[in-house]
Amino acid sequence: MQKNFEIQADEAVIEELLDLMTNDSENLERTLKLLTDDCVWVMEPSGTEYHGIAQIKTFAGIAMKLRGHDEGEHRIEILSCFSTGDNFCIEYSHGMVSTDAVTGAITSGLKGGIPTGILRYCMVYHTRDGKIDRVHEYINSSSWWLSLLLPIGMAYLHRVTIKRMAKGIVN
Amino acid sequence: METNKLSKANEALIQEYLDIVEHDSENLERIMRLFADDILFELEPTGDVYRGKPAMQAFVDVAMSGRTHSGQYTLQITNWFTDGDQLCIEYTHGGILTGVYTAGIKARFEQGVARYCITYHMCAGKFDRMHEFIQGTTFLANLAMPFMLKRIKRLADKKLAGTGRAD
Repeated sequence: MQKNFEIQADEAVIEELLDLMTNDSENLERTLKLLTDDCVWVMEPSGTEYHGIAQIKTFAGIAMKLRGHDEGEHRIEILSCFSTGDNFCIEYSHGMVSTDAVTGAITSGLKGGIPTGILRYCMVYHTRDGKIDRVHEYINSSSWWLSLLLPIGMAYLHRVTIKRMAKGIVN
Repeated sequence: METNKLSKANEALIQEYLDIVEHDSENLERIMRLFADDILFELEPTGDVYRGKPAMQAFVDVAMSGRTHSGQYTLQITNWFTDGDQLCIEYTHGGILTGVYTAGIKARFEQGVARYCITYHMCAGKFDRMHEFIQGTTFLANLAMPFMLKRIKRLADKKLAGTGRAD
């Protein structure tokens, strides 16, 4: 059996990321500082891949502007985190309130909230030299309707990202 | 973050599980030996929960009856790692649907279309908690997934009720 049980992934990266997720999750610059320039971010559902910091910045910038959090039922709650070697995994539930910061481009101007517990994330990270060089993000929902809407939302988010990149807008 | 030690029992569990996933994924008896009696299994999307070994067996039985593997339609592990107590496995799943939970529709889906990430908690050489995230890379797969999983849950509950061991 290949040994995938060695030293832990960079603890400083994990601690910074956990703090970022729970206390400062709309801070794009702080997020990007954790990633390598050639980082690959794979999104599920859809399997869309973003290669390199410029693509990730565009995509993450749009995603972050679309939602906000509060300290009540619309917050990020870490469910588990463990690491070994260069890998670590974080499971969390993501409550949020939508915003119209991107002129309603994706939410068509609709505002709403998703309480913590409904959207469930499993993030698998790979680190290299103290930074994250690969992210595989699995997003699921316990809500029937959100499960059906999620792929549509993801596809639309990707479309907006591609359009912005084509226009040379990094964020 | 605390470092855990990988026990011999948990190492053997991982070895056995990886072998089953890649080479013997339709062996119900062999896979059921890996679960603790009080296994808690959560499945995404839908968030359905299966508690205890009988419920788990009913689920696995229904899930296995709904697909077969051959040739290019197999499971392929893309990544895994453990800290000793917890395990994370990512894999893609190609298969041939038999129609059991797909309204009689028989279809093939290639490796890469369905992507899985499963986190496990291990205790004394058994899995006592699992959280499975299933994703599709095609619109149709994502659309169909919640329907299929709800159908599986219904069939599993029915099977469990039939054995008189519903929880």
